[in-house]
Amino acid sequence: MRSLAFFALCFGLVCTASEASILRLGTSTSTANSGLLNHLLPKFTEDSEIEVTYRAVGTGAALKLARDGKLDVLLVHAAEAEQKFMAQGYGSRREFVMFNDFVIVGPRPFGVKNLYGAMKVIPHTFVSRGDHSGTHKKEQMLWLEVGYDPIGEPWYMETGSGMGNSLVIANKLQAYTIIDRGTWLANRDSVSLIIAFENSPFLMNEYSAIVVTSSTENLNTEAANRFVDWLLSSPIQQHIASYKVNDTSLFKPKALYPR
Amino acid sequence: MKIRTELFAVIAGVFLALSLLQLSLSTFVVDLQQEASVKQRHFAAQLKLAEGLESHYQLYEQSWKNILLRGHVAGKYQNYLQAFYQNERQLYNQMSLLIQTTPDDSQLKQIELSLRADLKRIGKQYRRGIQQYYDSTSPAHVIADKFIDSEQQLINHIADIKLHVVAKVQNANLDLNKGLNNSIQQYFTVAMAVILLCMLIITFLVHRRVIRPLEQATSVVERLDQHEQNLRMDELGQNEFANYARAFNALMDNLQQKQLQLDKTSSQLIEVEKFAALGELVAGVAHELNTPLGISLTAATHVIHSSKQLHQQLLDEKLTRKQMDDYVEQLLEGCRVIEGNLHKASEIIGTFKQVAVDQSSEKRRKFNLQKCLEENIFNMNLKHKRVEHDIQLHSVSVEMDSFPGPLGQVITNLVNNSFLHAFEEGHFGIIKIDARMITEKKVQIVYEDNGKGMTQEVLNKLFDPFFTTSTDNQGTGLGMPIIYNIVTNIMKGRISVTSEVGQFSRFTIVVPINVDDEG
Repeated sequence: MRSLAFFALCFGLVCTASEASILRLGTSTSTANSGLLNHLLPKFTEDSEIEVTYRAVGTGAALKLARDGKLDVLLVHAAEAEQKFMAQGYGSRREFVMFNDFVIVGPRPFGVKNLYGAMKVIPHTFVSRGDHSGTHKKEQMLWLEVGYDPIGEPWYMETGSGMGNSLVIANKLQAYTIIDRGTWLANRDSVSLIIAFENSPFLMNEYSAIVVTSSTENLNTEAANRFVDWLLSSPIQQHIASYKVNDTSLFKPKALYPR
Repeated sequence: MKIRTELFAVIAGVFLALSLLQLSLSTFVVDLQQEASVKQRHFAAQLKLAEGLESHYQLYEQSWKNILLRGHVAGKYQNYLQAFYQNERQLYNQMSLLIQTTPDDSQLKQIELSLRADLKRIGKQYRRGIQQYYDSTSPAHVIADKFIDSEQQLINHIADIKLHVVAKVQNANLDLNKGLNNSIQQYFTVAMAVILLCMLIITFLVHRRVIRPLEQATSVVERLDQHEQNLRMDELGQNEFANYARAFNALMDNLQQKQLQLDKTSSQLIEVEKFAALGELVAGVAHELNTPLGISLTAATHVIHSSKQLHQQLLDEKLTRKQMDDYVEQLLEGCRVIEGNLHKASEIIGTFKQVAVDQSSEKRRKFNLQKCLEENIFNMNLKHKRVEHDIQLHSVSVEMDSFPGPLGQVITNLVNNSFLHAFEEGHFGIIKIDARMITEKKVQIVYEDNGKGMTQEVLNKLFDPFFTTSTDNQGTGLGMPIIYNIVTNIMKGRISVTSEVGQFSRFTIVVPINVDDEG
């Protein structure tokens, strides 16, 4: 009977372990499109024997899924939305992991140095993701910053798609769009656009990892915490920095962030 | 230009004008129809757009709700989001098309513009809704309910637009009908005006070019008929009447020339005749005087011879009583013959003097024709009291300025001639004298008897001096020449005679009322 109970316990443990070995990650499309996830996740599974399934859907959607208890951990980049998320009590831990920056790409350079000048030139066709992703939120922030509301303008086109698809559309229309540098570097060879504006403090993009909590759903919080810890560990920080496309690091470790 | 040509030109012009009018009308109608069909197509397109607007909006709304209500289905919300943006873009495109195809000044444009503003607003609200959806766990229907009012407003606007477009389509049809009616009315008005103008022109042409020349021609002919000289028609222009006038004038010129020649010839003839008449007169006078003078000469010669014989016998003293008695008897006889014949010669000379009366010595004065004729006939009746003939006089009472004496002589001679030659024994003669005005300045006296008349041969020589038909030596043959002389030379008139043997003789005398108005 004891052995049976032990067996049952063992089975339960095994079961738990096997369940615990699957981590559901929600992330922005930028991490997937840039190839970072493929660079990181196999290493995490190797290190921790935890299987990771991810959904690269854009920050807003990822947060939404997390609110519904469908994700265990997030790797997202929308500070305001994240703070709101945390304030609402859907996350137990939020850690700044890394950063990259955005660039505005288009058929021609703007030829101006500051953001205000750049955004005023924009009323060419502009492709927006419009999907409440981190990129979209950054773009909205930029519009807000320059005090311009493009919604409903004929030259302003919202796709509702991920970054890759939006870039393809922008290329097709020879339009401007805002894109994270990682995705840009990974895809720039396939399009005939060039960087129109870059290297502005406004274009900095911070990625955070969030451990999700839920009152109703059973979440793999332990694995989530392990994943966050793993991301913050210095070897992995270096590992992130070592991910290069065309000899350029796409994501920089948090230690390099200019404060 | 020829009248024909003008009329043809006017009619051709009118035909051309009407054709042009017709052409312009049909072009205008075609234009109008084209315009109308363009308009109709335009409005049909607008209607389609407006209807499309409605369906697109429903899709748009639906796709928004899809995000909220079905977005939680794993992996689908991105599709819904894409559909939402796509539908929104299509809605905007539809909207822009509608706005582009709407005239700037129309009321519809205002509604469309406000609709676009509404659309923009609701687009933002929808985005905010999605944002809320992402940022909260509020149930989707709660979020959706917040937009019901805005949606209703939008739907109302869309319905308004549809109504406007439908009304516009109907108005366009009405406009087309009105435009067609107006243009046809205008066409008819102009056509009537053109036809009226044409009729006026033709009337004017006919009046100016046909009727007036005809009137002029008629008046010219009438005046020519009244012996006006040197009258000609106007030969203006090149038309048919001008040609006619030229031909007529040429004819008149010809006639006038011939008349002149004739007048000249006849006056020459008259001169010749006058000389011939003078010769005849002299011969006649010589002949007439020859007989009594010859007899007188013979008688005088005989008396002289007898006287010489007596004187010789006296010297020889052989004169006997018987011889003396014979001589005295012969002397008396001879003297009687001489006296008688000299009387005869003297009488001839006297008559001749009467023929060759000095015209200037005749008394010219004003007199009443009727009274003058009545007095002469009264005297004639006194003279011929024993003869049972009747003289009937009808005369106008007209004051003449001429020679009453010679006129009386004419009448007296005519009556004498009738009594002496026309009326035979036992014949009851009737003489009708009829005096009347033939023009304002001329009077015609017709003298007619119902005597034995005259043959043509007699008529031919009637006015020759010393021509007489009487065999009993009763006429001198100078009566008719005297009449002719008085009428033509003194009274400046004309005399003509017609006669029918056994029926009548008629003398027609035409004299001017004032002798100065000859011709």
